[in-house]
Amino acid sequence: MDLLSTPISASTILAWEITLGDWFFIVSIGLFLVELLRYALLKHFGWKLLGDSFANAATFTGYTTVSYFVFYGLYGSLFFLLHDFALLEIGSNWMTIAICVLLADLLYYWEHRFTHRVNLAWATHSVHHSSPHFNLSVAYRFGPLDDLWAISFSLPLVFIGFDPILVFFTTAFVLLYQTFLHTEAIGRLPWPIEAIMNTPSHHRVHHGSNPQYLDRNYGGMFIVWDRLFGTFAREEAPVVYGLVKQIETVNPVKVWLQSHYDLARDLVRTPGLANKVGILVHPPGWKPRGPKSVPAKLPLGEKA
Amino acid sequence: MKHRAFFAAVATTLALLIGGGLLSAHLSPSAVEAASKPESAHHDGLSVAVQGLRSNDGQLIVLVYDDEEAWNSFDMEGLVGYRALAPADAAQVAHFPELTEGPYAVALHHDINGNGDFDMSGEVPLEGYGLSGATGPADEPSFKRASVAPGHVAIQLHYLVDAD
Repeated sequence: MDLLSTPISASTILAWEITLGDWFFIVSIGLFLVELLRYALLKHFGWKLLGDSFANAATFTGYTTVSYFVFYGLYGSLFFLLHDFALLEIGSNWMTIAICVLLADLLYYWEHRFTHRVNLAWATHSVHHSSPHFNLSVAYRFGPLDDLWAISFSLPLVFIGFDPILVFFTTAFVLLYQTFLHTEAIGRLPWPIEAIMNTPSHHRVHHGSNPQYLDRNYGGMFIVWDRLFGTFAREEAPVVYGLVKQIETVNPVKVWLQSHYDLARDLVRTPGLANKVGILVHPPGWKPRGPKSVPAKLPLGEKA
Repeated sequence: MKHRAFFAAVATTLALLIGGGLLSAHLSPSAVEAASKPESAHHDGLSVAVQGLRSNDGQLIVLVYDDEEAWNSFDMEGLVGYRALAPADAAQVAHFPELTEGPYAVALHHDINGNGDFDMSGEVPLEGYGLSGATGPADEPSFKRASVAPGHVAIQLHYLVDAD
């Protein structure tokens, strides 16, 4: 039988996922040490960088714990439940796996755009962006609820008919691909790669707080979605990493939870249910209009 | 203008999801297999080879279905082919010369104690079993995915509990 159409079992795919995740982690630690050496040679090495990297490791520990105990079980059952109502019947082979990776990457683009443009989701994703540094340890800096959004946006693939285990694998694969993008050590790659794939250069832009770099380059594996949907920016001016308003702390607890605390505080302080909902669903920085900017009687209302 | 770009992006995404799904369904194992089998090989009917038999106790039962509903409930009334073989028969091939149309879905049951029932302990099968198109012991393929054309088909037996 043709190699491309040979069925591949779910247990094989699950084994890939576990092996791949573990190896990426081990290789990342090795390459991170190389990065530290490079920073030392460039005299960019300091206690702040070390403290930031320690905070990154701490967030990863917390994030993994939450994912294992809450999201994997919850979504495992939800995936298999939803699969019973799937629209199509899709078996796994090399061709359907390739299509599933492509579609998972497309859905990742939207998940990523969503977590940047909707305040409720930005609370968790902003953790990944709050480091003023950019190295492989930042790749493992995650907010407590990051997996909630990552897995939610993969549900359509299960509903279409892809095997739940395959969807789980492709979702993780798109995230794993991005690990090695978090580095300053690699400049621009040859243009055919930069044209199609997400690269360290494109991803540095994504982590930039420079005005021209905000809300750009959401792509996971492929940058074509950003080029297609008008959210692409090329790396030109030197990137200032981090948030528009820097957090100025490497305290792991603050790094991990401060954004949710701030969101909760804003919700409590803002009067009116509509305004509270507004804060949750609008982009970061949104504020309800002050009483002065809203006329007591809207002129349009009288005409209608 | 900004909104138009956003909705165009969403529409493109939906089109790619639906298109990718349909293409994947078309490229799926069962569909590819059915399309690549030459028609002429079917005149000799269906022959089922049994793999992974663990003991010669009891009897080996081969069930063939051509109907989706019967397959879903493993309804004995809806069978188009049935054989009960002595496991010791070295060949372990069940031949159904009359089954030349297809597609068929095939189930195996190694009735170790010979009582005619598929013995379970709760949800756990106590006897050997195998389904056409299954990718593993936990896989219960639908009729479409279990479908095989007439010709030669090999099915793996699974034992969750030791057969001795």
